[in-house]
Amino acid sequence: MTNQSAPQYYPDVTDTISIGFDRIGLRYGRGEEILSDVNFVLQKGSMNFVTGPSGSGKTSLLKLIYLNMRPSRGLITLFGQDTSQLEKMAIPLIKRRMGIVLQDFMLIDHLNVYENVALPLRILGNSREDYHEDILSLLSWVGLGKRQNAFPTTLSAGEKQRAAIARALIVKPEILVADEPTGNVDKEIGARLIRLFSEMNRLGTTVIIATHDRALIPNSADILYLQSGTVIHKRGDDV
Amino acid sequence: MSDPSVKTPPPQPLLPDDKLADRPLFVVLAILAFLATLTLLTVKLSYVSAGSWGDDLSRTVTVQIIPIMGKDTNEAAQKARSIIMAQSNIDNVSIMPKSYSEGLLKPWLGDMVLPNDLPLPILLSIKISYKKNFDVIKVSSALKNAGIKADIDDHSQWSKDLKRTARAAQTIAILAFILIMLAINGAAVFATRAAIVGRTTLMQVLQQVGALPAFTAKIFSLRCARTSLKAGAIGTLGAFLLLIVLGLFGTMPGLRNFMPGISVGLIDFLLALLIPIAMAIISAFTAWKTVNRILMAEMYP
Repeated sequence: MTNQSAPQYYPDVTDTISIGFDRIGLRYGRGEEILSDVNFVLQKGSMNFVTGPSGSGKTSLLKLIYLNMRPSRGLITLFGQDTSQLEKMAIPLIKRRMGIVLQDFMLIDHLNVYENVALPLRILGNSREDYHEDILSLLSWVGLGKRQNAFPTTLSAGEKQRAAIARALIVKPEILVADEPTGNVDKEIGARLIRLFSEMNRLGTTVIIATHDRALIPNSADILYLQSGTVIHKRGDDV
Repeated sequence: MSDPSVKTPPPQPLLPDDKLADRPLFVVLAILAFLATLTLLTVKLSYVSAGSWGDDLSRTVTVQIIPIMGKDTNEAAQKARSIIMAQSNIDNVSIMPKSYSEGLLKPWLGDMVLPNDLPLPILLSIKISYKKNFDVIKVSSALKNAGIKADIDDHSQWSKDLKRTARAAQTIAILAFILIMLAINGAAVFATRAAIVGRTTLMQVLQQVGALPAFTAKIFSLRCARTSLKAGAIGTLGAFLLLIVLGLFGTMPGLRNFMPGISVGLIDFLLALLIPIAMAIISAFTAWKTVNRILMAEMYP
């Protein structure tokens, strides 16, 4: 993460920057701004944590990153593109370059674990033969090798979380966004998931994780600390 | 690595059928198809019947030889027959027996015995060649010149009345058919919205993983088309079977007078098959449009 003062644009550094927020403000309806003058730049391949008190806007910040909503003001750049200028039909193409893990897992109940994880590849039109081995390997990697035929309703919270993570990772995303990925699992599994994210990061993925559990944040990680609707940038060991 | 003992399941449909949730709509669509088939085949049968009746009427002409005091009406009828047969486009001229004329008086006079010397007109039934014209003025003039008093009815007024009535019935039936098809369209929109509401997570996840609106719309579109096709086929088949049964009853001696003369064949069946196909196309298009519109509105709001 680079702490910069309100960058206007990044034409010469777009190949090294994944995400840029420039004076971003966000309000719901006519209410007060819940995010105000948020500025930061996340470098490609960086490992980042978003933390802050409950209700500080962590989830809203992530929603802005994964294009679930537009900011009320300011400029967001993703992969060097000004998101306000994106054609609507370009949004799904940007989303395909991202993996998203949400607090409530968002697994599809009538699909088993295998099919839930395969979903991003199915929508790309890939054939089962092409992705079958990848899915099995990934499921094995997240510890769900023997649960591939299980349906979400029969999974524990930890298993659901790992299935959701596997689905986010299967496309080898350039950016991985996770909202409280350890919120529903015990400390041991939580630490294991963070190691999994670190491994993805080691392979080149830009990782952004929102968590309220500071104990899970490695010392080497970059931190976006949210307070009073704005971001205070700190290194992990300063928090 | 993967566990070889666990068998990979076959691909699962992204939007599987939900029989319990779909049942009310399925029944509504089947009923609409049933009504649409009855209406469509009624229109078709009325066209065929009106055309057939019209052809029959326009191919026959009735000439009434009116008795003249002091002249033999039978002789006048024979003479009139010869004059008419000499005209062009005439297939056949039949002199109807006296009992036929007497029979026409029965509604007014009942079964009373008529005196032998009662001057009754004699009727001539003329059959005209198929799709040829009958020149009423020419024949009327020829009969008059031969000293025969005759009244010629080429059934043109009756034929016009019949056509007008048939056209009115057909217009009403076509309007009913259009209304039914509009109801099918409305049901498809309702079904799609219900399916979306019931599958919010699927829609959100598909959006989240970068599915194009067209991909999601296609899934819902195919699902609605399949439901409509199945329900439409059942409704259409039911209506067709009903018409066959009614047709069979219509041929039974005791029921002939109470049942309409319905006859449906292979052409009618093929025509009726257009209804479930049309329903599937309407449903698919409506679902596609509805889902696409919702997704485009929700995308990066």
